[in-house]
Amino acid sequence: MNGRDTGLQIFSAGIFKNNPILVQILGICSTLAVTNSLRNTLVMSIALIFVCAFSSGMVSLLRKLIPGRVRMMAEIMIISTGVILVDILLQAKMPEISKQLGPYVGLIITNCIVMGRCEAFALSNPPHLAALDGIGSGIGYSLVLIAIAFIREPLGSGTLWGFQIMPGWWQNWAIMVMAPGAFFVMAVLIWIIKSFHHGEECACSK
Amino acid sequence: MAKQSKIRQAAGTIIFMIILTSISVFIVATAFHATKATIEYNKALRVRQAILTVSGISLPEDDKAVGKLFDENITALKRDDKIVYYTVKDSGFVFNIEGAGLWGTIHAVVGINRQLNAITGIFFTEQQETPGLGGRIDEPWFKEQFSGKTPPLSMVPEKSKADANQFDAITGATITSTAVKDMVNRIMSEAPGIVKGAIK
Repeated sequence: MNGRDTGLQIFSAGIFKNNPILVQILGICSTLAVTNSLRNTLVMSIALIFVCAFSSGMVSLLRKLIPGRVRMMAEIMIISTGVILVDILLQAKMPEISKQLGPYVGLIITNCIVMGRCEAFALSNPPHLAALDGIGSGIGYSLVLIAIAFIREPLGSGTLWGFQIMPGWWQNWAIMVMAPGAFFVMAVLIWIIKSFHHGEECACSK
Repeated sequence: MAKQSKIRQAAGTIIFMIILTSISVFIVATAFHATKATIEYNKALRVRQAILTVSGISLPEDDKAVGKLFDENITALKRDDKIVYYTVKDSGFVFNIEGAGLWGTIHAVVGINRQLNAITGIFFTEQQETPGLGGRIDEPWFKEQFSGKTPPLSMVPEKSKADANQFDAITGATITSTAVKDMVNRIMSEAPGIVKGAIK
């Protein structure tokens, strides 16, 4: 980032130019795990947006106090606090979804996007921009996940949001409900987006 | 001089981490305590709903009525403070069973009639099977087909017509289906012994 980016630029960078999954290829593990059902994907996305915004904001708020040597420890501490809060909230308010997501909520702690944004942005920017950056990256992640789930759930289970949408003769693709299915969908998605994006970049870079 | 400032720096770092950790722990502990009751209630509710369902009792619309319905109909039989099985008023028994699935242990509750020869229902309380394949044991059609079945059971391919001692296995999930078959057959052969043991 060069000098003074506006809030809007920072926010949209997370969604388009610096999309964590398509461009930075971060946070792949959870992408593979939860995108076989749209409902789980959406909950996971909301959880990640919250954690990203919360931890980026907090790290940025404390950035002048955090000693350089232990900054990663401090970041992980803040991230874990946010994630455990989300986990507890899900268990209390949405027990069914919490059961389905299982360990994946806890694994947001190790989602590279969250720590990546703390390291790359929050440590050197004021809190409101950092939170905005966190939300932007979270939404960028979410959009890609939702797109993948939109393809995987109908192909793999014949349903969308739990409702049957494929006709009776439809044979479910077992590969799509398993993690490798996400690799195929994600690879094709990255391929398509990059071939568009690349053209644009060349036109406007100088 | 330099040494002293290094020590001071290290002390500052340590103090910072202690304070940050304390605050984090405090926040998490507060949230945990605030929601503890709800989480435990949810867990108990799930177990009770499962037991009522497999004993053939239809669940009330209102979750709050589940507790009362459960207390009226179900009695837990304990041995050494551990629940061995449940008796259902006027109709039969409910057992906790488990078996080795593909990725982990499958836990289930199964209802059996009073003559101990037919299943009244099955519900999987915990499973880590592949979502969309073995995970489909949670789908209603799979669970519901067990009521009225008379084990020992054998498997037939999905969507074929199963007899009273057969059930439709899940396509692409042979290991999970076999695990369910073995769980059910084992409890059916052990149930008379367990019930007798408790009666003496």
